[in-house]
Amino acid sequence: MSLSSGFYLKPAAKTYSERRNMVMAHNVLEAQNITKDFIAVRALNNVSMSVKSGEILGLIGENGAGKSTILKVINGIYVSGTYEGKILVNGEEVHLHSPHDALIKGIGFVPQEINVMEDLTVAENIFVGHLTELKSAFLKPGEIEKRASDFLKHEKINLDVKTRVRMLSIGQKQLLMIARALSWDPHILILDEPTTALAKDDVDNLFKIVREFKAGGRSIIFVTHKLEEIIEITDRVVILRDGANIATYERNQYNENKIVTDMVGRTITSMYPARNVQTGEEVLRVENLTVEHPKIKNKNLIENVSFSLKKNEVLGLVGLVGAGRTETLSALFGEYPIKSGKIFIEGKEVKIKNSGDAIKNGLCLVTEDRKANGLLMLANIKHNIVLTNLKKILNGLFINSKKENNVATTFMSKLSIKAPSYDTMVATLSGGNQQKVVISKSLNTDPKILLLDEPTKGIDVGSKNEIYNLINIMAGSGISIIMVSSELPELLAMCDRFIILAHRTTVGELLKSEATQETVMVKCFA
Amino acid sequence: MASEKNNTQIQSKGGLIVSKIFAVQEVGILIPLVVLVLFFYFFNHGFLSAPNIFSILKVMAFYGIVGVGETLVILGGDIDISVGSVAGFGAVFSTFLMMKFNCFGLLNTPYEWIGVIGFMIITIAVCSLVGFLNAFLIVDMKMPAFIVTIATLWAVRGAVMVVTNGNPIYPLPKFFMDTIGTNAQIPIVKVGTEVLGISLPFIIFILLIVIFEILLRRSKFGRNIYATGSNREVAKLAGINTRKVRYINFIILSMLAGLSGMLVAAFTRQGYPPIGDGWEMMIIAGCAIGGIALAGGYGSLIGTLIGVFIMNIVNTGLVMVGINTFLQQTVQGIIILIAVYADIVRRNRKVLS
Repeated sequence: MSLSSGFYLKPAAKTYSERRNMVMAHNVLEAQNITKDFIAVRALNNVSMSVKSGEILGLIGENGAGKSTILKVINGIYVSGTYEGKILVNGEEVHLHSPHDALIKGIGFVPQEINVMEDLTVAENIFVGHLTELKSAFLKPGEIEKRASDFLKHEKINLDVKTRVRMLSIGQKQLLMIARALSWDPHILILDEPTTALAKDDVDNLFKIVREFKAGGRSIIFVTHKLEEIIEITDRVVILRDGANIATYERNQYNENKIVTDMVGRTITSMYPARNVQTGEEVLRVENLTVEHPKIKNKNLIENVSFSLKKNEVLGLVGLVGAGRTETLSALFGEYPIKSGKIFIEGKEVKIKNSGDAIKNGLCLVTEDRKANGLLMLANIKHNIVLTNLKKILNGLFINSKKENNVATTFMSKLSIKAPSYDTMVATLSGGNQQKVVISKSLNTDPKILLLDEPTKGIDVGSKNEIYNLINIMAGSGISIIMVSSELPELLAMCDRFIILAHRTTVGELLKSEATQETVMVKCFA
Repeated sequence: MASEKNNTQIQSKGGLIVSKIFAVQEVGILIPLVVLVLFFYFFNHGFLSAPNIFSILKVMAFYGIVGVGETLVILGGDIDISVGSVAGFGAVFSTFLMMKFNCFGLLNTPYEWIGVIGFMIITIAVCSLVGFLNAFLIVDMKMPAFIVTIATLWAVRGAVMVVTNGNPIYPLPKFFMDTIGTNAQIPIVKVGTEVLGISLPFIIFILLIVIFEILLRRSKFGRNIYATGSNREVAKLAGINTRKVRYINFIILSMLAGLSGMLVAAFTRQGYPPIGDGWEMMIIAGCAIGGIALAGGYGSLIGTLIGVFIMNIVNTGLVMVGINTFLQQTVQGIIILIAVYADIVRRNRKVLS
């Protein structure tokens, strides 16, 4: 089907039907011997990769392996000439000077971070950059909505074009970003960790769109940390490590252990370490917790959420995105005024009005979004860690630098944070090490109850394994943990018990012995 | 080919050393300071004469006292444009009260100082209300700091005009003009019949710098300000009462602005209504030049000290070099632009390194 509206940008290299007639399985995109240096660091060392037509290529590697760098080269963010090597599109060498150049050559890019205009509608977001194609300088009322909705229907993406983007869920925003990339009719679509923020059903939806895209003879580069996704969706996988090609596997050669070993450069015997801790007495009980929506009238963020948590226990909050998992953690941490319901800590009812109260009562929150509310990115490791408990390092009115350095050193060795020193700026650390700093911050308040919101989001396999070990150590040392994660396998492996959330309320509970992917999903959808 | 590579490596190594030195904030700002001083000295040797140096130090102190408060507000992630009017208000309100109530009836008696000090304290208290109002509108009503303080800038300037009817207030109590003003100084040199020295405002300024720099670096109060300014969400989640932090910043700033205005009145021997006019730009520019990140969370008072110093050197220097008065403002504007650009370059380098 072609769009009569002329929505697609004209300079796209070849039209859709033309491409279909081209010989199958030739290289649509090739990066040859790319070497990219930054001051003092070689980010890419002679890396080559190619994408065939009608193929989903998996690009996998730990943080710092060079995935983002090669993507930025392919996408024209690192301007042609600032690196060595060649980029070929359909066999012809191209010199890309901007992401727009890349778009015109048919390379669409969906970045990892959500990047949308919150106060515009879905239609306006999709139409950004296409306005010059309109014949008249003025918009006819309803015109872009109509074109956008035709386009979305054609791409089988389910979004309401008139909705303000602010009102969309993270999953929907991700879809919007993909739609925006598709609106340029690319023949290669690059998805950089598209599933990080998505729940299972959104991921399935995304995979459907990806397969649809591929079915049209077009190609996809799929970047991810998650092995299951690589196995499920890709036709071939390229593994990078330390800025160099390590291996390329065809679909029939896939072997999970081999991929992990290649990525990490060492063998991880068990991804999810076992824990042998007896759970103790009840530490926290939540009864009918209800919190009002801060922005929308007569709507609750969570309603009648009830559960309990035992000492040394790791409790998983399971649910789809929007089920109220993060909201429950935030409410416990005093971020929203509590409308009704009670919170008991060690048998005593407590009132939590703000995060200060929460910390006093032994709670601590590790937030999902390190950049937005986890870390002072431009401050150093030391200042981040001590921030949550300045009292601990005060000597009278003033901060005692010796105590301060001690606190920082202790946590850096305890959590094996890899950095030159505690004076290193956290923005320069890898995702995994940043996450360890966030956890250190929380542990510094000597919490009884630790709330972990997506603790392994956007970090590499090796660091994930370290975080799992850390969770076990914390649970073993008497801390009770509530954990939220969109990665069901991780949750199933790490938690002792599961509370199921759906439609913003608790709908059930499963013990570890009863919980499988299926039983959990059935309860989520019930 | 190989030699080329070696060359680039050596260059980048050299670049690293230079950037390391420049990474120490204050070193970077000292260089333009020295260059400017030499520049003005070259064109007019009188620039480094004792009277001129002491005059610059005295005048910069008026801005600097406010600059200390403005630095706190900016570090905390806000901005306050209303400082100039608050300074003007402090100048006329205090002098108005002193003369209206004859210093509690003690005017021209040996106990005059009780009235003077008393009304100064009352004025500072009233000025703190402006800060409180600013903070209330910005922090609790969630209005943008920039617009709120532009509004209070105008409103307070209006109040100044209402109090004075636009006329300067004089004569003033002797204690105010002499003991707090002209005579309060640590004598350093004698030029002709005139004794030159470090003035009271400059002493206050330096004391404030020292006290608040220590607080910023080494106290919970300071750490909370930096955290609030660099990421309010993170600060809140760490249990910091960011609302309190921001209120305190605004209130301290308004109190310092009122104090500075009164000191100007004492030195000029009159409660002159236009006192403080245009200060906000001088002071915010001084902060920006001094490396205070205008987005909050980064910078130090040493930077502010140097920044305010540079602004005043330029002010005086341009006059002494004899540049067209009207062109002076343009030059100041250009200097502000350069400073803000330097801020951006610096921040980008920080993230990359």
